[in-house]
Amino acid sequence: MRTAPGVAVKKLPLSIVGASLAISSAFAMVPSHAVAQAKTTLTVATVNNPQMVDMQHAVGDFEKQTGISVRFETLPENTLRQKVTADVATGGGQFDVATVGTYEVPIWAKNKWIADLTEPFEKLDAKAKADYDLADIIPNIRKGLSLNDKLYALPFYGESSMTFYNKKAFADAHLTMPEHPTWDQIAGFAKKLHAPSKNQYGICLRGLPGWGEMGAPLSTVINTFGGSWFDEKWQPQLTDGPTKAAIAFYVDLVKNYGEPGATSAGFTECETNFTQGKVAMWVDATSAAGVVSDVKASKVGADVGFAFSPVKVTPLGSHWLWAWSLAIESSSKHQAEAFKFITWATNKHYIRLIAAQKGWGNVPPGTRLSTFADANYKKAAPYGGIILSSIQTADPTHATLHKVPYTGVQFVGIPEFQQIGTQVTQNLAAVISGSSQLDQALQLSQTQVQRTMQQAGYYK
Amino acid sequence: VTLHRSTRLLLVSPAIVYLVALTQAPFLLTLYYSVHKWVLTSPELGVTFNALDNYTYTLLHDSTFRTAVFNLLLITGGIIIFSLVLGMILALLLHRSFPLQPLARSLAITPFFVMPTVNAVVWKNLLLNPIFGFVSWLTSSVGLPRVDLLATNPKLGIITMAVWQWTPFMMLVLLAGLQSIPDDIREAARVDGANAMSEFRSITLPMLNPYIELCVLLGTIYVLQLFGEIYVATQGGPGSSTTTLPYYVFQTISQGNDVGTSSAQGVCAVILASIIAAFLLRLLVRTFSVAK
Repeated sequence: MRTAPGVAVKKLPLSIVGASLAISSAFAMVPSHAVAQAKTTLTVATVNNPQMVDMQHAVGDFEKQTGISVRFETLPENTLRQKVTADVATGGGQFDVATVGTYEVPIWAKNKWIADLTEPFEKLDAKAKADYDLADIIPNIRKGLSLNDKLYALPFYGESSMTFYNKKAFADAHLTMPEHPTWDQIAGFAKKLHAPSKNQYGICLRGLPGWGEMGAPLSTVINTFGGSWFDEKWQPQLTDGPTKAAIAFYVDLVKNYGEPGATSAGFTECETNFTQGKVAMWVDATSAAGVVSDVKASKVGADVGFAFSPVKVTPLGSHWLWAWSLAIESSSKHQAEAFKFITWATNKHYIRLIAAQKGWGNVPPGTRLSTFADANYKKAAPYGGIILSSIQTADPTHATLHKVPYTGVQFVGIPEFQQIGTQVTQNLAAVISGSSQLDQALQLSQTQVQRTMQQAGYYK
Repeated sequence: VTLHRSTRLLLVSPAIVYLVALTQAPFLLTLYYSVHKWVLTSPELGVTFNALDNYTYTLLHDSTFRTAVFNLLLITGGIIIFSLVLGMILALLLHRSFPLQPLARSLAITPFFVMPTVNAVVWKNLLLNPIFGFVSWLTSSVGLPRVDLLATNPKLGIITMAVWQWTPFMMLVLLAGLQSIPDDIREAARVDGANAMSEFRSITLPMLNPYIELCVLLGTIYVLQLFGEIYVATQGGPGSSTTTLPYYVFQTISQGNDVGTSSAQGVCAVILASIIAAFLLRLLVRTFSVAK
């Protein structure tokens, strides 16, 4: 009998078996003389966001230059993460190049799932080295993609977080947004601008459970309140001190002056709420700046104001750092070709190529200092200064007031965080929706996190 | 010419091997993994045999697992009951002849062919969204507060979505049942002075009984697997209020990357589903044999 619960589990081993069968039979069937002439084909696992789609359109340039053909497998973020994790963890070898974020890189590097890029870079001749110009990549981004000072992935685009606000709503209410707001000011503005009877709401903050959804902005609030997910001995800090205060603040803000439907609002939903003019403020990824200020895509396009991500007691970790990056899987049989591809896609020339094809407003931002220095980019992206400064001050190795044993700004760089972040945000969503009390939810979270950490062997 | 028994076996063996490999191998693998500790993202811990640890944790210590079982039964039960009642009403209406009846019938069936994820996206964004949604527009235009069903009553939200999808299925089966009731029985009843209500109670309902039970059995088997709606609309939340067993298994493997525990959960889920199905099947067999 077929039942869903079984299927979810059964699929994994089956797909592994299937994949390995397919691979072995593919090798078996190719006649040996064909191998010598066959072009190398790279398989690239990638996410379905606009910048990556542009890359797929531009890849002809790379194929012409090198004679290597590239096949893309495009997936939504969560599916990509699962599929690539299963592939690398079992040594499936489905992909040569994987699109990974700053969360995965150090963990996967430690597991030796992705290749160290130090050697291939050293092998480059002087001209190619100068041409790629590794020093042009923003230092914090490089730091986020390194383990023990060794680089394991090249950034395709990078982002931090910032505040977007509706200038018209602020002017109508005689309010001014400072360039560096505090969370208390934001809460004050949200209270004044919240008018549910007019279908207008103070602020949009993610309430959709998930470590990469609500977990991201929540972690930046925890950091700037002076809290942290764990103390130095890996004890979760959810039930007291600044961490609890931060979580209480976030939950109250969403509950009292946030968007309705918060528990199903993630990045996309908040983007819709903001561009439709339903919320006065939105604190989220800098990569949204282009869309919210585009008059064709956004009703409030002409009225969008930009400010830094809000702070409380410390600026440390108040805004996040993320970079979608390209890494080479250790199991890939085409390491050299894959290296050629990832250096092509993250090169200055590539950025100019996209600028020529799609305009400077659409280049993959946030990776290279030279992009921000370009006069054309500055003209197309007036918010560029805030983005650059945010990325430059988001240090993944120093994101909390007190010392912690982990790296990462809006996440804890350990494999268990996917589960921890999701469980805790799920419990908090129940508080936002009113079906649970904060203390009770935090107590439950603390117990669950402790168990996960114990299971994983962090302590007895 | 009758073939020798062994020749016959030899001839069908490729099909049997194929079938067994395809259906049983994954299950055996799941059984194998369910007695091991294997976390994908911690390769340094390796794959180690841990006997029944995964099962004891799942069944005795994991309170979310119990919640998931409870939610699964509640949500499945809700969907089956509501869609059965609605399906019955629709089937009775569509059984009458009226102009454009074939068109009405096709329209009533369409929700069944909509993909579950698409169904959920439409419900979540177009109908139930508290800011832009149709339901909130309705309530706010008559002066009532806006509703956010997926936050305030998420189970009902999920049930509503699935009922919209499963009502046509129930309707189809029941319609076939209605068409199998001979007209002369109804006429005889009417001659004996039965009104519409008593005709329904004493003729239609008893004769539809096997079909109703078929609806419940097939519906339950399929609805137990409900996943798309939960994944898209609530992600199992808020809290764990819409986390059902299939979704919990998915969460364990996709968020925890814990192959061992999720395999054990999967095995428990299969056992639970088999018990429910076996129970319903027995019920069905009994009714059909009584009907004969």
